[in-house]
Amino acid sequence: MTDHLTFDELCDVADAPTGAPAASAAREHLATCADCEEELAAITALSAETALLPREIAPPAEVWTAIRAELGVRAATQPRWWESSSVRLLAAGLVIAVSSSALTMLATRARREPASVATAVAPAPAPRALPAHLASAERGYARDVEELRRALNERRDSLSASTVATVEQSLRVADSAIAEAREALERDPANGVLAEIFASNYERKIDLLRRATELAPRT
Amino acid sequence: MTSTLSLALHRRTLEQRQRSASDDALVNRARQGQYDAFEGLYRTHAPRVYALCLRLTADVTEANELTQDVFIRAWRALPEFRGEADVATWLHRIAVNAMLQGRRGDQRRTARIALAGDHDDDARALAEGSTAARDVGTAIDLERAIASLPPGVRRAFVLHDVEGYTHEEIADMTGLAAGTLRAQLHRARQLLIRALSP
Repeated sequence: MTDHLTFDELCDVADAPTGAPAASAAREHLATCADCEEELAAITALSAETALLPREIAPPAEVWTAIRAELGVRAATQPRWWESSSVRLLAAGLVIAVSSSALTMLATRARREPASVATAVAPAPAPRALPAHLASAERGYARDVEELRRALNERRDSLSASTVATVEQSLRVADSAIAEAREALERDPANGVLAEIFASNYERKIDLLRRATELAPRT
Repeated sequence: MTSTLSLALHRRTLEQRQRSASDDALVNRARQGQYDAFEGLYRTHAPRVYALCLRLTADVTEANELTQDVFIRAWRALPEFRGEADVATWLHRIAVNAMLQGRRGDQRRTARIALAGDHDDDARALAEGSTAARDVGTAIDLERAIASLPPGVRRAFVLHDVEGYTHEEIADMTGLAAGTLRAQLHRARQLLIRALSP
């Protein structure tokens, strides 16, 4: 074969299962053509990068609020289901947090400090430049976090030690994801998808705090 | 050489296994009208549904509306859900169908984080190629580039390469011919490689 492979043919090779006979002629050409080999490597690299994209992004809290309203459930209806399954749900929240913040965690995993309980306290927004609309949103989130934190601290004695540990661990992950998304946003403030991840991380943290607070009866 | 499809398929299979057991119990209770069980399904599956909606629509407001639409449709369809597919697959089907039916509300709410102008930036990046650093920048650039793809090729890429659906499954969902899907997918890859080239 002397002509280069077309892009469609290269995609077919990339998509073919290992050892598939249909692509054997193309593979023979690839063994002797650096240009086609390079183009196939680009397709394969794209596939590998795509496989690392986060599969989960937490929707804003108002999405569920709107669904609940549409279904006619009054806000006063308490979700008793997770009162009896608190630890399991919070652990699920942690899993979601880890996967949805994978974008930013991947890059900084190697240099992350060991987590400490102190990091669970809501970090004050660092005085670094974010676009005005993001900075404003962050101030709003920080107020919500502070308020929920205060409520949780007032009630935490009524929670079991294992629940507190799970909550704190989930919050540490959320804080880490927020900080990493924020750092990336400072480098690329016009990136809309990153802004959405940044906001989602805050929404998730607020949701975790809200749920943890509701687990603890008032003392 | 590893198939480009295998990573996504493998990941999808693992995730499905982990979730299906607890889903069955929640579905049974939700079918009986228990909203708290339905909230449990939402908490479990909304992040994946939302990620799909966000990538399919490339628009935060539309993704919010589409996600709402998916779960409202799911609630109403629960009595007919017989569990032939797992819940995640069922919800994904609803999402794709809802998106294909062109839900484009005129009364868009203002997103908490405004993204005005972002599409212009993405389109420019796609046309000129990104110059951002690799590592975390790679994934971010890739998301931006995907968002900037024309809708048809974006849908093919998201469903096949991101979500791991086969050509046949996508053809079944979209009603498009396999050849058309293949062409759209390859076009998407070509545009993305060009956009991500240094």
